[in-house]
Amino acid sequence: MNNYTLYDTLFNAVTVLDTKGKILYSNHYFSILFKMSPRVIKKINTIFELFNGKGEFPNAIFERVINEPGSYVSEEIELQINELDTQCTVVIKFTSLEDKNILVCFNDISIETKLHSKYRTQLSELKNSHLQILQADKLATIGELSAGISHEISNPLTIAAGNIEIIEVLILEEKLKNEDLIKDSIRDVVESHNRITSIILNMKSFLRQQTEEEEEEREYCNLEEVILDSIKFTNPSFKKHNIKIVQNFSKKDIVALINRTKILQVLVNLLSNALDILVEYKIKDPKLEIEIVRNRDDNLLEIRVADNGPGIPTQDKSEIFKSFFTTKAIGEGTGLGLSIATQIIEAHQGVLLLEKTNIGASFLIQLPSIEIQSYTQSEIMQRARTVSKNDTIKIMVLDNEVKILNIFNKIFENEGIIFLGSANGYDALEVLENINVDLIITDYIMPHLSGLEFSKKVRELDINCPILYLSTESNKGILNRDRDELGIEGIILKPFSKEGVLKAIYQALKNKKEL
Amino acid sequence: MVVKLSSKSSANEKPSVLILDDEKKICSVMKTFLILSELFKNVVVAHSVSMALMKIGNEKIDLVIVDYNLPDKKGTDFIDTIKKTHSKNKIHFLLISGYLNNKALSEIINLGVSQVLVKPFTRAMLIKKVCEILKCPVP
Repeated sequence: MNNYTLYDTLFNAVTVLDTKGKILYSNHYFSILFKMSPRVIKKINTIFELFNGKGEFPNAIFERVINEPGSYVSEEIELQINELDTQCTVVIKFTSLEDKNILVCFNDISIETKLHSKYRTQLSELKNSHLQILQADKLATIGELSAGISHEISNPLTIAAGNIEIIEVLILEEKLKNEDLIKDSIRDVVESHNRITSIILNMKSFLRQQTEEEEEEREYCNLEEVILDSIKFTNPSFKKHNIKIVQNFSKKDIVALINRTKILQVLVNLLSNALDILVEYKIKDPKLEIEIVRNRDDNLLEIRVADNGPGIPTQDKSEIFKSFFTTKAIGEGTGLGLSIATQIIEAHQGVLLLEKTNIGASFLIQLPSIEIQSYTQSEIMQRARTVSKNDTIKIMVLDNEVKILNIFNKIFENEGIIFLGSANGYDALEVLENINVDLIITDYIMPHLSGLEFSKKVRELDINCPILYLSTESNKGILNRDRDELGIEGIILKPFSKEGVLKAIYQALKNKKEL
Repeated sequence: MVVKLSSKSSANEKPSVLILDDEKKICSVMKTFLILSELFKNVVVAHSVSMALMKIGNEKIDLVIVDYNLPDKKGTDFIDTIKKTHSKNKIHFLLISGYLNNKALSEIINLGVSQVLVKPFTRAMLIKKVCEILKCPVP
């Protein structure tokens, strides 16, 4: 036993066991850890007996170190030394010795675990307050816009109530023969009701607090629609102050992969900032311009919100994106708007900038194009889900309808498929020049570039992956026409099911392999 | 019904009213209510300030019902203009609005408009306000 006296000098609890688990030796710190005198320990036969009632001994690792000599570390083990003590956490290292006995070292990591769990609670508290701040900012924005919104609601309410009274009068005076009047009134009531409902729904969806998971969610949206929604919110206030909103976009063909509610929050914030400043400075012919640009050189989507107000003073330029910076009077602004907006845009891998302009303030939101955004997004998702799968498939789907892109996004999510979505053939081609994909699914009828023209251009780029068309029953014939010339592998007919799509994809990939 | 309104109107002549609101359907609801009340000789409707100014120039108007939120001007600005340009005729005003804050309210009081109707309102509320202004019994 004297062979082990060297371990006496160690600061860790150490014991030596034979292959049956009998305690051959234990050092000073071992008795401290287990709060037992060496005399008591000597009376205990095996380590299993010692652990009995105190914690779970890692039997599997113990057996392993006997069968396959080496060094192994256990997971964290909770120990309850005696009823009076608090729990402690240890990791145990088993090492086989030359004399076939097993050296067992205990590392007490209670302090680290406690710190770790404390840090985790604090982190989750921080996350919670972050969510609350986001919510507070939205509430503050709505508060500022409430005058406009209440005007917007009371108008249809007056119309509805008025028309109901008119119907009542018509009934009382038995003028029921006047059917057209009644029909008109009823139509007005219904219309007013719809107007109010849409305002309330819009407000609800804006104010609803997102959970942590929902914060991470991204969906394909028409950027124009999101911007129009943000205008809908602020428009009553803009109208009230005769501020012109110039919309420099028309076609609904710029698609982004975003968290809709959050981007809406950023836009409403920028719009209401501009509103406040234009009103405060009583600008003549006040106006606000919103522009969407697809920046093909850098694969970016840009939204520009510019006003013709006094602009931002030079000394404030570096301050405005910081928390709690506000030019408004106490109680009027939270000073959080732009800093939250920055956080939201950065969570989208984008940038929020203040541009250099001669007049007014011009904010620029830069978001990555959907092709890039969808690629990184699904790459991250797949990494998190499947560590071992190294044969992930990369598929590009080209469709100008966001609904279809969102369906594919859902289908591929659990399939280990990396998904590149695109809404525009030209953008898709640009991406295909740089990124290899295993398969392309393209809608057949699209504005700008049809499925046929797109496929031709893909082949011109010397890309040989299988292509599947996406179309309706009536276009079934196109497959026979393009099958040989363009190497179109098949056609997915709308409406499609998850199973149908996956079958078509795997079939096409199998055919390709056999060639 | 006999209502005395201004020095020019004869004793048994009913007053005329102008409704100014950009929301056409609100105008038509109010117009229906006012016609049904049989208080007025004429119920005129305008959807914009310029249209209203023209109509006031063309015919004798005794009461103007005006919305506070107008697309090209505030209702109070309109009242101010009318008070300056038509100071000879005594025109009464009723301001309606969906939302009033303290600032707007003090502006209205300063203009000498004592009657305000908040949207949404009912037929009875409208007629009651109108009668208070015209100092006539509620029919």
